[in-house]
Amino acid sequence: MLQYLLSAISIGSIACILTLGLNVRWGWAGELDLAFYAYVAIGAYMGSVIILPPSHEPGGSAWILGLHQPFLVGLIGGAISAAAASLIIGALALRKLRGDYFAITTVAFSLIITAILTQEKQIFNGFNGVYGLSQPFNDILKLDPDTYLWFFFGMCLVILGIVYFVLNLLYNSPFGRTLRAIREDETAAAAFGRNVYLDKLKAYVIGGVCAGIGGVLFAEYLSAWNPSSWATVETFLLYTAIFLGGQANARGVLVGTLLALVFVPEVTRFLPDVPGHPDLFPALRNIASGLLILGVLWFRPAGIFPEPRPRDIPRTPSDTPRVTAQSVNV
Amino acid sequence: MSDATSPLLEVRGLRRHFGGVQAVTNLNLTVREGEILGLIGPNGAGKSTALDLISGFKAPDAGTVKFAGTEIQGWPAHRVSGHGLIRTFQSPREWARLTVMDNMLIAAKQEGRDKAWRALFTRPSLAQAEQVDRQKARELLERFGLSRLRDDYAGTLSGGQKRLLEFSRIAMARPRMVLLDEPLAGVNPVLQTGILAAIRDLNQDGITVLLIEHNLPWVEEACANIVVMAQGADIATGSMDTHRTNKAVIDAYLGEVATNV
Repeated sequence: MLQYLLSAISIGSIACILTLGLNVRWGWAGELDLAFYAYVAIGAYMGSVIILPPSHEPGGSAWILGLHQPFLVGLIGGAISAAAASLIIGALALRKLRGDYFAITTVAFSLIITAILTQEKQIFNGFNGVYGLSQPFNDILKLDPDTYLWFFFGMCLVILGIVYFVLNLLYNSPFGRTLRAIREDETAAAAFGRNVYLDKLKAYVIGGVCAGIGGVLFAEYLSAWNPSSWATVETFLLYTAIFLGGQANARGVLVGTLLALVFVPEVTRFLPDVPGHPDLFPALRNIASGLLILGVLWFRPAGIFPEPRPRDIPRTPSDTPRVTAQSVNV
Repeated sequence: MSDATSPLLEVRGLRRHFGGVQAVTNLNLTVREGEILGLIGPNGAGKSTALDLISGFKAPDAGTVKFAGTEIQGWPAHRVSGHGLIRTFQSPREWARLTVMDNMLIAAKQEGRDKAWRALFTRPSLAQAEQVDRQKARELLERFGLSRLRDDYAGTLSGGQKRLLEFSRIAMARPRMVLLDEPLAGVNPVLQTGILAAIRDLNQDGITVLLIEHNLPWVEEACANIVVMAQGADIATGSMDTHRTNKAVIDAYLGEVATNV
């Protein structure tokens, strides 16, 4: 049971890295990106082939590189690859397209990537994908499998902590404020001297870095990565988590991720099977996710934790704790 | 302040069409440093397009725009703005889900402070600059009567308050010149004099103003010098008194006589 919990919260912290990254694109800059999981996949694949040795697949099938590098090199390589892909796609799609048109372009990109990676056997070994990843750092640590779960969880948590910290610095800076202005009205942002295209591209690339980091960790968690590990539609599950927790609120996004991507799927896993209907509960789970997002949008459109509203009026210790009629009327 | 008669903005032979529509055919105008120049004309005369062309939101087909000695036609909008020429729009275009204070801080000149890397590596200097900006913003909001609302989301302000916030943002940005596109749109009659006072305030700060407006008595009060535009070109320049006796202006605009049936 403990092992099960550990692996559930490890995957939860990886999912948090992903949703925090998507939140930069959507919550901060207002880019309706539907290709996010494609960047996760690019990061996962590239990280894997940097870490793995050269492939010896039969029948002319293979994966590229096979550099046999340490985990950290793979992690950085995966992040850079996803960032580079974001830079290229973002540079093309953000140039002229806004809103829905941008979203449609990202869906197209995601589907193209899926088709290529599933069919092409010479890049990432087609449908069989890349596999055989060993546990990061365990060649040095030599922990037994149960203890290693603790280590892996700790490692994911530390990386999540770093991502959270850096993104918080960015969000609270003039750069973060500029992105929020672009989200609200990019014409006005341009009128006040902002290079909207460049700033949106930066947000897109920062999101891509998070996608890459999460992707490599995800591949390590699974010890393999192939087309069945991900799908374009999973981006929508990440959006569910963000809407539920609160757009543009990092803490809210963490809570939303744990609720929508860990709690709901894991708890429903324990529901008894209905004889003769093995697919019933997985299907109900998707319906539950759909209802969840509808419910949030209906009853609490800003999410559980709405975006924080910064205060300029200095608070003195004497007037903060209690709310008086006077202070309400001000 | 520099010489009040030297031209700050010179527009020559500006032209732009959309498909078969000639929006601006041949616009020439000169705005001298420190003045408040009005731009009037019937609907469809090309006034707003002219503003888009000058401010870089649209590129002209031909013609030159010279601002502070530099030819800026064809520059992207953010670059024109960075050069000290800021525009407003017919609707106030506040950043709705940001507080009034954040709206002000974004309007402030950044001088590279909004670069992503600065957030990670130069935090003390950012914090220092922000304190200066905040103090400045508080003073301006006080002046424009928005001080009490500075922690409210800008989207919750009334139409008139949004206009005042717009002027506060301009004052915060301190451009050399501002282009105002119908500053009275959505403003109730009582506030119209307040808006005029706000524009004069900006002008006192040394900001040159070019404004488009349909409320002619108000324009006459605001501007000593007025350019009349019709069918994409400037047809007359001068005071309202001279326009009232100008046959071309009466035909095109003041007399409401259609010249193009």
